[in-house]
Amino acid sequence: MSKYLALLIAVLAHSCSQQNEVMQITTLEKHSFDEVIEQHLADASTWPEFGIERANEMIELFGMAELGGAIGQRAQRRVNRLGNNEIQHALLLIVETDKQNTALRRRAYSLLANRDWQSSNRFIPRLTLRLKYEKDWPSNIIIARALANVGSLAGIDAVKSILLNSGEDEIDDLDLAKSLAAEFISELNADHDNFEDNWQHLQLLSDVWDKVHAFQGVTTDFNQEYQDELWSLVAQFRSQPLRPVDDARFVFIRLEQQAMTVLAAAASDSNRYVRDHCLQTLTWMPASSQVAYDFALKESLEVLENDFYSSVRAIEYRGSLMDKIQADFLWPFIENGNYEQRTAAADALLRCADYSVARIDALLIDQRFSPEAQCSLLLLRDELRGSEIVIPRISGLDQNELTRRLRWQQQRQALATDYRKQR
Amino acid sequence: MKFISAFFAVLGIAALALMLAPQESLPATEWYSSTQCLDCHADVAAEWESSHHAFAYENPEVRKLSNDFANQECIACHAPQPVLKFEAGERVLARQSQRGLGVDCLACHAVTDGGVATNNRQANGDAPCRPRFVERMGSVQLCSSCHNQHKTVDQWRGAPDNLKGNNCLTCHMPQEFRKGGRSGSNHAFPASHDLAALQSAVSLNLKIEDGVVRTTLTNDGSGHNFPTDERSRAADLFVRYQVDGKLGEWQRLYRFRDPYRDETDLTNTQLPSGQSMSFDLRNDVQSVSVRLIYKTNPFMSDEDGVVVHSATLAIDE
Repeated sequence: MSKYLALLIAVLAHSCSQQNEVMQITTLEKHSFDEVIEQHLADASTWPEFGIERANEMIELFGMAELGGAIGQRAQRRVNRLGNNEIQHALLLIVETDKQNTALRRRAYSLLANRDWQSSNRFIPRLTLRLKYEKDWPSNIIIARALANVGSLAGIDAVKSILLNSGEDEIDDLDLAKSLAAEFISELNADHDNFEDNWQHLQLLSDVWDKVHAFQGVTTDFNQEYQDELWSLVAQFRSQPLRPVDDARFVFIRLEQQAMTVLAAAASDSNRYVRDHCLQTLTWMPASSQVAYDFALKESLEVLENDFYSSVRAIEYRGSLMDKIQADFLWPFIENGNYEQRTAAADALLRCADYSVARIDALLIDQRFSPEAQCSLLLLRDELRGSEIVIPRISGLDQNELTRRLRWQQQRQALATDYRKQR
Repeated sequence: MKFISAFFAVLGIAALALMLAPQESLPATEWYSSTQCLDCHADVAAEWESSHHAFAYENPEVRKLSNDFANQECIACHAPQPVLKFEAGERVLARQSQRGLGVDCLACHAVTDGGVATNNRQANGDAPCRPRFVERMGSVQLCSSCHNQHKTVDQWRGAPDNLKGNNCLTCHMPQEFRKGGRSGSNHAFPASHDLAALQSAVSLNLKIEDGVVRTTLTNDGSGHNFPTDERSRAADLFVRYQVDGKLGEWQRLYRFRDPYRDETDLTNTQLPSGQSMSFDLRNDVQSVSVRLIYKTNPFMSDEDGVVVHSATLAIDE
C-alpha cells in the first residue's frame, strides 16, 4: 500500500510543480505613487487673467507705438510699462482665439518673433501648440522663427515643407510663405545670401534637432517660469477627453531635451494616466529618451515595470532606449510576464537587439506569444543570424504592426551606424 | 481483497488531498486573446465579426482619418485594453497585443482577476471562463469610456426619456434568438453601418402645408444627436425639382454634422434627439423629391453614401 501512496504523492507533486511552472507570472502590484504634479503646481506661476478684449487693445497699442510722433511716443511709453507675461499672453490669446482674421494673427506672431524676450520664454509650449492648429503657412514660418529665437527648432519641418513645395498643392500665399522661409533660413545661417548654403545649413540643424532635440545656435533657458508651464502641460495628461492629452503630447515631442526631465519626474505621479502618457511620449521620441532615463527613470523604471497599471508602458519605454544593456531587464517579462508584458518585452528586445538566436528560438516554441511579439522575435532572430530579413507571415498580424516593427529595427540599425561613424 | 482496499484508500487520500488543496493554488485562466472565446461562443463571435467593433483597427476609413494611426490618440478606443480595468466612465488606454482584433471580446468582458463579466444574471459561473454578473456591463458607463470621446453619451443623457431606452444596449444590442433558440444580446451592434438602424433613427416627411411645400427631418428614433459622433459622420439632405417634364439636378439643402475642431467656419448642425428641422421648398414645379444620404465620413461622395430615406411629391397645377 505504501508503494501506491508514494506513487500518488509523486504524481500529485509532479502535477503541482507543472502548474506552478506554467503559472509563474511576474507579480504586479498596485504601487502607491506621489502627487508629483500637485507638488509642482502648488507654487507655480500662472498667466495673467484677462480676456480677448484686453488683448485686442494691447495689439492696437503696439500699432500706435509704431506710428511715431507724439501719439506713437505715448503709446510706446504704455507698451514699455507692460510686463512680458502680459504681452505674451495677449498675443497668444489673439492667435488662439481669432480664427478668421489671418492678418491679425500674422501680426501677433510677428510681434512674438521680433521681440527679444531674454529669459522670459514661458510662451514656448503655447506657441508650439499653434503648429498643430495654425493653417496659414506664412504664420507657420513666423512661428518657427519665434521659436528658434528661444532655442526651439520645433517649427523647422514647416519651413522645410514650404521650401520644398513646388506649388502642386494649393496653398494660400505660397510665395509669401516661401520668401519668409528663405529669409528665416538666411538668418539661421548668419545672414548668408546663398540659398543653397542656407538650405544645407538648415538640413544640418534639422538632423541634430531630430537626433538630440538641441539647437546648436541658441540654448533654451530652463528657468522656473518655463518649467511651471511644462508642469501645467503635463497635468493635461489627467484629462478624460483625449484632445488636451493629445495637445500636450504634440507639444512635448517637439520641445528641446531639457523638457524631458519634467516627463521623467511626472512618470512617477499618482495618476495612472499621467504615468502612462509620460512613458508613452518618451517612447515616441528616442532622441530624448536617454535624457529622461538619466534624470529620473533609471531609478524609478523597475518600480513602474512592476506596477499593475504602468508595467507595459514602462517595458515599452525601456525598448526606446535602444541599448543592449537594457535587454537583461526585459528577459524576466518575456519568460514570465503576462500576455501584454510579453508583447511589450519582445518589442523592446527587438529595439535593443541582444540575445542569442538559440534563446529566441526556444522562446518561439511558446504558443502564448501574440502575433506582434512573434513578429518582433522573428525579425530579431533573422537579424542576429545575419541572414536576410524575411518579412514574417504571421496569422493575425496587422500590416500596420509589421510596419512599425520594421521601422523600429531600421531606426536602431541607423543609430548603430551613426555611433560607429562617430567613433 | 487487499488490492481493492488499498485502491480505495488511495482514492480516499487523493480525494482528501484535492479537497484540502488551497484554493489560490488553482490556476486562474490567463486571458490573452479573444480567439479563446470562439470554442464556446462561435455564434456570438460570428455576430461580432460582422460588427464595426471587430473592424475598428483595420477599417481603411479609420486608417485614413487617423493618418494611419499617426494620430495615436485614436488607438486607445480602436484597440483598447479591457474597459473593466478602468474606473466606470474613465477613458481606456491602448493595448499592446492583437490590435487587429479591434474592440474584441476581452475589451468589454475581461475582468482583471481572470474571469469574465456578463450582463446575464443567470450566468453559469462554473463555465470555464467563470462568467459572473457585473452591473456595469449593462450601463452606459461601459460604452462611455470610448463613445463619449465624441460626446454621444452626453447627448444621450440630455435626450427625451421616451427616446433614451434603458441604456445603449436597448438599440445597439437588441435581444435576439440564435440557433437552437437561445436568446442573447446582438453582438453585431447595429448602428450607423446598418441601414435599418439608420432608418429607425430619423423620419423624413414631405408634404404641402397651407400651400407651402415643406420637408421635415425628425430625430424621433435615436437617443442621441443625428448623426452622432464629432467630426466623422455627416447626413446630407437633398432636393430635386421636376420642371416642364424635366428632372433637375439633386441640390444639397442642408448638412447635419459636428465639424472638426479646426473647421472654424462651420458650426455644429447635428439634429438633437427628439427635435425636427423643416425646410420650405419651391411649389412652382411639377414634383419635388427629397432624399437623406448618410456618410460615414464627410468627404465621401454622394454616390458612396447610403440613402436612408427618400420621398417624392407631385404638385397639382
